[in-house]
Amino acid sequence: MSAPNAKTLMQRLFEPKSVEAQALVPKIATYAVLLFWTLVVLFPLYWVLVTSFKSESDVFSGPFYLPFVDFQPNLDAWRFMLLENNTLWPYFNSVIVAACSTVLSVLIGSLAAYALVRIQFHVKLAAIGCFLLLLAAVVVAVAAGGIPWPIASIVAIVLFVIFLGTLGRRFRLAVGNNDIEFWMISNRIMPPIVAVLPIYVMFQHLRLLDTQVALIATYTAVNLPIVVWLTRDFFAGIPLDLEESAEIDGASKFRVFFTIALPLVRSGLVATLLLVLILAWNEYLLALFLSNANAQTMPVLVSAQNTTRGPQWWYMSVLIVIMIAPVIVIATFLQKHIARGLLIGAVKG
Amino acid sequence: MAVSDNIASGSTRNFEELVDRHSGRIMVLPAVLVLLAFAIFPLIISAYLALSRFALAPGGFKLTFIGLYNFKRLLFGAQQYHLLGTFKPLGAIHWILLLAAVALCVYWLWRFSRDRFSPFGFVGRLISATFAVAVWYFVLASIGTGGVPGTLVTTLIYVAIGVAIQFGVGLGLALLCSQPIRARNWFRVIFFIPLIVTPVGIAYVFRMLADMQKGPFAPVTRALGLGEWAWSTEPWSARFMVIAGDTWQWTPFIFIVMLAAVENQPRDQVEAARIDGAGGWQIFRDITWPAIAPIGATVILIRLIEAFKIIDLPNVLTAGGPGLSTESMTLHSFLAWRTQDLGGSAAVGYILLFASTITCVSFFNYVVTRARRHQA
Amino acid sequence: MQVTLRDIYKSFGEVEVVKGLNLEVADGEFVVLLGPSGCGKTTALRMVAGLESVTAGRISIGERDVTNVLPKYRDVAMVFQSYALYPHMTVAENIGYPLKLRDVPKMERDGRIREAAGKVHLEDYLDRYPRQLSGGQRQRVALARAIVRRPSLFLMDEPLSNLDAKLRGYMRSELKRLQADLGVTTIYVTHDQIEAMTLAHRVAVMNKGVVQQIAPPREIYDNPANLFVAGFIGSPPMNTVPGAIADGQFRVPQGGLALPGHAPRSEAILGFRPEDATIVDPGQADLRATVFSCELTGNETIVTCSLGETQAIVQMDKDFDVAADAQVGIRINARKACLFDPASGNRIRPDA
Repeated sequence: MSAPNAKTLMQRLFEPKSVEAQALVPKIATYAVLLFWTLVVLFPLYWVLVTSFKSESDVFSGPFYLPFVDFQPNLDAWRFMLLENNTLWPYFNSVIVAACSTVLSVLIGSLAAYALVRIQFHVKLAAIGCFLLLLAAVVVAVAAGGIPWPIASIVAIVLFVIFLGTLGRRFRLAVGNNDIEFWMISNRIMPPIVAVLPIYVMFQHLRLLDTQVALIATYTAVNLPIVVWLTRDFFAGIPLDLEESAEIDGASKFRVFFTIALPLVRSGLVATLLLVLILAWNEYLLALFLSNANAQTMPVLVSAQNTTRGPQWWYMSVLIVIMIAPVIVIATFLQKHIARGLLIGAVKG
Repeated sequence: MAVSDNIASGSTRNFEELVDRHSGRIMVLPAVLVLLAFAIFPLIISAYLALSRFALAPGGFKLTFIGLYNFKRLLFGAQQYHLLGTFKPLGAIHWILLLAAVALCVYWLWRFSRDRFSPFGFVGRLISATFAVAVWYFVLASIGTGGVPGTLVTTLIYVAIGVAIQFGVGLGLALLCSQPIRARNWFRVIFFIPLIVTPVGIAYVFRMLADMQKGPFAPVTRALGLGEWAWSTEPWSARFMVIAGDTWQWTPFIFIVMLAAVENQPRDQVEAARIDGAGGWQIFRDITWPAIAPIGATVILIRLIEAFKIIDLPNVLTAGGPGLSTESMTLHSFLAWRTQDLGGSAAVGYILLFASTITCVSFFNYVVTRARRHQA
Repeated sequence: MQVTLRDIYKSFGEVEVVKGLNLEVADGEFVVLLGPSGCGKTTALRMVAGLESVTAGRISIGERDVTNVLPKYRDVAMVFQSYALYPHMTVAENIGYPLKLRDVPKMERDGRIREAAGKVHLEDYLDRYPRQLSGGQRQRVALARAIVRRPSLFLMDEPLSNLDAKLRGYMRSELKRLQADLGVTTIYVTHDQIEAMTLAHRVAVMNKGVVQQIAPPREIYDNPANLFVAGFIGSPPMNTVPGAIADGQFRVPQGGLALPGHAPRSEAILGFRPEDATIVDPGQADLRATVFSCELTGNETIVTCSLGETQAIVQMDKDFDVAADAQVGIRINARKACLFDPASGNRIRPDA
């Protein structure tokens, strides 16, 4: 190099001007890749939005890309889906089911998480084993032995109480808070398909099949592990002094939970709430099993559009747009909160 | 001191105090009950269903206990083609590959027994190794010999290839996004969106996009002379579409978490390395990667858990076709349920539970804990 | 209201942190539990509060046995080291929270919040949030929250240790006035001996879960019950010089000190405070020593002397100066000196 300050072309292209900056070539490459992925993300969404304004002939006479340029958008599909087709009822179902199950699972889950963080538990291993054995025995007795379930379960409960009072005291091995927590969270590993058949039968027995109640209860259970997993870290982060102080001042544990702990983890709770809300909104498999016409949710309605004439894309698109629009709006504006929930879960593991 | 007595009095106080003393149990109880009712209890019933034959009978249904027959049928009998695949005889090269895998597993077990033997650890590793060899055999005997893979292999393809691609792309985007570039937050928001879009919706949108005649890419495929070809008629292109949809949806998850991991990495370490003379790639390999590996491993674990449950995409995109080629195990179980084969459906569910648990626990024990060993 | 702790034991699993604590606090008394970290003083306080269960023993407040009573029924107020202010509540809400829990009507509550805030000079900050306050102000909110409900017992867990030195001195005197005005029985935990000496009616010095001495501050300082108290109280602490007793005299190779009335012992430790000794000419001294260092701290001069293996500190006035390694003598005020048994660490009293 002739002059120490003069840079060759290659250097100018590949070496940054300063430590904070990027050199030209890597910079262009970075933007190119990021813009490409932006396109990958947005194009499908754009296409479904555009298609919802097409008519049958627009779709079938070849791909058209730009409204007003190569085809005339119209609201026919929207009008049909919203006014003539029965779309609003499943939509209403979805809203109710997602909202109720989210509130329930966050409430139940955060209560449990709080207790597991703050209160020591010792559950005898033998008691759990005995409980599961009796549960299995009841199932076998009812299914194979033909014994009516109320009798079987009462007998089992009596046996369980007797066991706790006598033999159960001799056993030492106990599970602590971490084990209980792990058990709760590990339920998420279980594929829902394993549990859904008995749940189906159970609701059939209770005559609750195809009702919102069945879906709300099931969704609450399915999302519970996530709530426990996320909120336990939020609660563990509260200084213990605050809660003890409230206790000395005369608050019960429940009062401490609702007036001190919950307000303090507000932002974390919002993150959890949003995440669970989206999961409940998107849920498909359980709704497929547990709902039919009455409690049908949006994902099931959408997937059922596969008619014999082939999917009618313009109608489909309307459904998809109204189904995914709320979550995209939430995602765009509250991205930070939802990402926080994801991060807590992933980083703490 | 007048106030002090206001806190409660008489019998209400006794009741309140009782509630207060047991508040821990009361707080945990709802969660335990819900999980018992919707996870443990169904799991037990499912086990019973998997061991029975279900038949409609006048006024309801009849369950007949048939032992392990459902599993036998799926693993060795008439349904083997569906779950494990149609096997053709192994050729010489397949035998070599299979024996290589067996040798590898035996070596791994031997090394474990030599270095730090524990009975519990050995049994665990034996299970992992057996599972790995079995899966490898299914892959070799079905895909390797030109046979047809079953739903177990298909599910594992989705899990392994899908998660690998998602992790690669997600980490790459995260690294690019952590550079000092403009509009970073904008990219972040956009890249996040697919994660929360309803999977069923994604499946239909991808079907629209992949329409060879009327879709947006039709002119391109026509120009390439593929106008008459349909991706949905070939196993691998159909599987590719499912993985593409899955990748579109789940890459953001990896992206978001890894971006935070990269950004959280202590700046001074990077600066120290830079002063020591490390270049970009060296910094990534020696500083950044070890710092983010534990989080990376955890993220993959979470993805593995969820990936095993895949159903929305194959069901809507291809309905499991052509043939069985895109059918996941959850879909398999669902289809069995629709044909009133509740026993078979439950058995498939249980096999999925075992496969998923073995894979995830193995991954946790051998990869996640190892990646975390440098953490405080 | 008087507080009685009778034979209190506390274990966390295998570890015994409080071993047989006995303490009686009279009505209106200010008792300080003093000791190094990990000595069990905070655990003892938390047991009185009800935040920790008691492994064995009995705690009563007034006539009432509260050993197994929940914290909220004990009628105690506690100030935490971290202040434990609720960050999502304003100062007024923080102070009023104990009243709200007791369903005190809004009108009365406001009046009492104002009154309590007045006592700690916080009237102007009632609408602020804790994060908008300085450390000293936060501390006073915590105090106000404790006094607002007029409890029968105050518990304070190192309430001043998060303040800077200057503010700590000021808050110390405020606290003392406040307690005297309210006349509420107070148990106060600290590791800072100045706080203990200045605030307490009586100090209970603890070490390794055992109370070493319970006495008024002056008594603790002048008459330590054992070597631990002698070494823990005072800054610099009491000097301890090992030697023997013979013929009514404490003897070391470097000299001796007449202490009449003591029976002969082959081993004993002499304790004397730095201010109870003076540096003198080697000829007129009780003990001969070599100067190790001589430091001027401002209002006094600290002379560290070597006595064979041990060191002793002598406090001289600020004009005193001596070169290092100089041979000097130490004269000790025999009436203020104490003797300890090296084996047990206990004080040896004269026989007569």
